[in-house]
Amino acid sequence: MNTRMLGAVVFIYLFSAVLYLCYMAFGQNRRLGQIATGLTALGFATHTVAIILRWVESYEMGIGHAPLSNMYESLVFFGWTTTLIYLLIEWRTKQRAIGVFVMPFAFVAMAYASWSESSDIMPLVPALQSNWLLAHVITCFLGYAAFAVASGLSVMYLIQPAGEPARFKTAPGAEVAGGRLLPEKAVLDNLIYQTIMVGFTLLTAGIVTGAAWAHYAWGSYWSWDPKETWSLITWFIYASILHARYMHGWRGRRVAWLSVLAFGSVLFTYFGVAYLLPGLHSYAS
Amino acid sequence: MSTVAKGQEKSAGGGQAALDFLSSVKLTVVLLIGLAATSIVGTLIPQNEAPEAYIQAYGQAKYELYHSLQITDMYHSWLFVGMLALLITNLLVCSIRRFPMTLKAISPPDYKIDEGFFAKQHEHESFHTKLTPAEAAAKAAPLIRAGFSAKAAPLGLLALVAGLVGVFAGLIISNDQTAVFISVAVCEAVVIGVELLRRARVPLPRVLPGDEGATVVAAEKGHLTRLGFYIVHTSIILVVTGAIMGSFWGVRGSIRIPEGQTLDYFWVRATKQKVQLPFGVRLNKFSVTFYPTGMPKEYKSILSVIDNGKVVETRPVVVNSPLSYKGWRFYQSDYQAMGLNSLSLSVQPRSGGAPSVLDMPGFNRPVPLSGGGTVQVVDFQEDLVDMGPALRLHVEHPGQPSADFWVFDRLRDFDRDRGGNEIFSVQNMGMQYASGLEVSRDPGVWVVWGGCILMVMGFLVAFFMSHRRLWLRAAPKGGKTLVQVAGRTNKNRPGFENEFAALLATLKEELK
Repeated sequence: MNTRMLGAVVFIYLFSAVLYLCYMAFGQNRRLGQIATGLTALGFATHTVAIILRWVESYEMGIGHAPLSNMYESLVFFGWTTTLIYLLIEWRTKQRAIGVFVMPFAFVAMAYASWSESSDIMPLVPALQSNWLLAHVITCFLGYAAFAVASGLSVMYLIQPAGEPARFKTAPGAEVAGGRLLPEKAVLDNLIYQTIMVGFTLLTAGIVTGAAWAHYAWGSYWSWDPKETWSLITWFIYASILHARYMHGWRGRRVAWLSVLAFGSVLFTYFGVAYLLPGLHSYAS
Repeated sequence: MSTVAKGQEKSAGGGQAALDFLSSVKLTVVLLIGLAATSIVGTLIPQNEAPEAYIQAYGQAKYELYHSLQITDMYHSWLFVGMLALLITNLLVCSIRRFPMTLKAISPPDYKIDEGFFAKQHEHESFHTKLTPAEAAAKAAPLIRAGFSAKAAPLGLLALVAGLVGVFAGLIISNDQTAVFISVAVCEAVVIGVELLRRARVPLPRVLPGDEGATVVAAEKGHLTRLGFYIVHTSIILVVTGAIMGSFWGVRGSIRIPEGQTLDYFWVRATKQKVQLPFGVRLNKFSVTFYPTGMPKEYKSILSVIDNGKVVETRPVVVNSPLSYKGWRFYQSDYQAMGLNSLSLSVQPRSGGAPSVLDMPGFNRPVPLSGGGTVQVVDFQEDLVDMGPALRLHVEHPGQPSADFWVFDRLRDFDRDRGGNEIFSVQNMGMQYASGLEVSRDPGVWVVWGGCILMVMGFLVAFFMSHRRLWLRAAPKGGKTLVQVAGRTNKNRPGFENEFAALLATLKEELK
């Protein structure tokens, strides 16, 4: 049941990404925007219910655990956190154009989970039987989602030409005054910074909970395992972005580029380490 | 004289330049990128392997190059440690040099402000009122308190912090879910309660006379949040200090204890050194259980600590739940089967009827079956074709050819389709085990945890709380009273703009 619902969520997120694109391309029509948001909210609600059902189902199978224990479940959770953070930002900023650049992340995560990972509920091996699992995975993936949103915002910043902003003819029923295709660069710059601060705090909490878990499981809070090291590399890169803003001439474009690069490091921490480098977090072995 | 003075000036200038360099944010960024880059190299080239392994993978010449550049032990190399040390220096020098500025920024707001002051602030607006300056200020003060000062810290953020602290505290006290829930509830109640009490007691903003017959109201909130970045920097120093303490005074190794035995030493893996423990550890029993799929479910060692010849503690140790005694911690890591010590089979006649249990005395000792004939155990494998422990049975029935087959401890139905007179399965396999335990002692670990908790709390303050100031000046102008309002924040201007607009609307309404 839960996997069929999650399969439906894949298509809902695809449609909502397309709707946001139509909304942006066809003069920011308010009605269209509301439909896109409504569809995203529906997808998110289905997604939430499916995760809860999966959790319940694991208890019915007698191997009860939070659905955060393998690549499939983590991708599903990543899709969920990304949509959650996107909806929060849309609610706060009322900028629906951001959906065009963020919802594809949620769609790709869900699609990849549905088509290339086994969706079976598996019991937990002893190393994963810890309360830290929940704290570690939730903080890490909320952080990853914030970084995904920050990189989407950075792409929005970078595709705008240096001079005059991209404009369109204001269509009847348009939501945004002045006919701006994308939010102002200053607004984006501020939002990128804010989401990176959120992501950085959560990534730090994720590294700390991971270290605490390692301390209880293996007797060492840090052992330079590739996953640990790559999360630290990601931490160093985002820390440098947060400091670069205080350097002369490093706001705006350069920070946007750095944010895209740093998200590459997040992706490597998530997938590259699991599939390319050996270590404790390897799903491949 | 003049040359000496010049020389002094020059050296002072050099010192100044060095200080500027050491406290520059450019250095911070370069060092953070440098640490990231060296760490990447460390994940691409395996660390701390035997020389032979490197020579086989990369060849002699490359190995010697990597070894001399310390790439084979990147995280202890001079380059990595040096950059880390420079980063800490950078952080210290920068924090110390910025302190006077911070001190000035957190000192009380200035009341000696004139009409021109307002236009220079981020948010400012003015309107006229029929009230006298003193009346306007007196009326504005409680409104500013209600709309600005009293909402000093966002309740949602505080609840989040309290929740996080609760989860951490709960997990540290016990790995039990109820303990975590109780801990979160207690933290939430205390933090929210204290905040609500504090809000109820926020004093009225100060009303002071200004220049030209004006009255000035000044309010601020969150001035101490400017210290957020000091909290973060202190926490980083704490984490590094804890890690250094661990590397100097910490020790890590492993032991393998057979069931029933007591050991009072362990081996350091890297150096193969024997370390004496101040007490003994006895393995009473080891057990391993499996899911029906054959995946391991639980490894459990019942350990007793024996100090001065007395058992002082007995508890089960499973993965994720170590034993801790006098600063030493014992972690379940692996196990080894040493042999069999008791064995019984379940035998069910194929024609139907209740299964019977047969105790098996040992290898190659035939036991009579209730339906005639005998069964004996002829072989044992710890792990046969990845299906776990297995026994080879030899069954004889008079007038029939004898049968030899395997039965598995974890696969109780394995013999069902063989087609003999009876269906055999393992009833109980008493294995003799040795448990592998990791042993560690790290006196720096609490310093690291303290630093970690402080760091996350520091981020919450430094990133999400801001220092906001508000000024109101009411002065007589052209027979009326001119009310000027201005606000300033050090972070999150969009959020402050909304707050300022809401407060201004209230003030305009009430001070007509």
